[in-house]
Amino acid sequence: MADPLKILDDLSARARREDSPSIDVSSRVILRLSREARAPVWPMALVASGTAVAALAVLNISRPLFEMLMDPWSVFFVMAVHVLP
Amino acid sequence: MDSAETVSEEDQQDIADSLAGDGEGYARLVRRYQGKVAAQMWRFTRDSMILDQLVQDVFVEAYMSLKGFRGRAPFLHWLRRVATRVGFRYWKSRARKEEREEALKETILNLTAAPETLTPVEAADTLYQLLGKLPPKDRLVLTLFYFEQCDIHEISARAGWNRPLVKVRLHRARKKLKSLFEEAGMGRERDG
Repeated sequence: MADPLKILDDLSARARREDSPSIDVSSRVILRLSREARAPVWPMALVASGTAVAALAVLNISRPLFEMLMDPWSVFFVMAVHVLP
Repeated sequence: MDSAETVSEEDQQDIADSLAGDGEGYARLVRRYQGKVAAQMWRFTRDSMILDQLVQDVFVEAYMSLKGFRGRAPFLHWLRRVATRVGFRYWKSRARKEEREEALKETILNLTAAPETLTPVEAADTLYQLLGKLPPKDRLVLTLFYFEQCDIHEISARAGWNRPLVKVRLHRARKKLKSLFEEAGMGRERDG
């Protein structure tokens, strides 16, 4: 009786002679990419640059306040002006 | 197998154009390789509508990871790995939905007709149905080995499995297939 692996060999040899259907997907691929690929790229770049600008702005604004609060003389001066009569 | 060992100049140019956002550059790559990719994906389905979808999926996925293409081997080699991944995922999604064991004996018994009497299309259909009875991992290793004539090294590259694992899976898949044949009453030596 036939060896299964021999059958598989013979079957594959014949199957490989088959021609696959001819197709042209180039325009549909480009269409899909225009919908699927562009979206994640631009918003992410915008978000990243927007986040960086916002972070710099916050740092620039808060730095003088932070430095002032760390300086005891500045704190005393502010309290003297606003709290003492 | 594919003979060239480096990326051709026209591929390099089209890849660079694609990465720069030129859709026509990528369309040229698709037109150049869609025939070979279709032939490979025809191992994963016998339905031409699904074939069309799978080939599209391969090129969409390839574009998404094009930045990761190092250019150390021909573009087609890399594309075949992407195609294998897409095909394997398709099988796994189908395997969850389908009952694999249906009509198993019938398919095997149809093989009593000697392979040499079958047309290439009949042979490919039978082989596709036969391997479709196996779990996706076994099916992939046998499809690449028998249908695509890949060696261990190539299967390892395409499937993303290391070589010892490929050898083990190939051995187990063949064994499983043999036992399926035996269950169907084929492949055993007659007594006496």
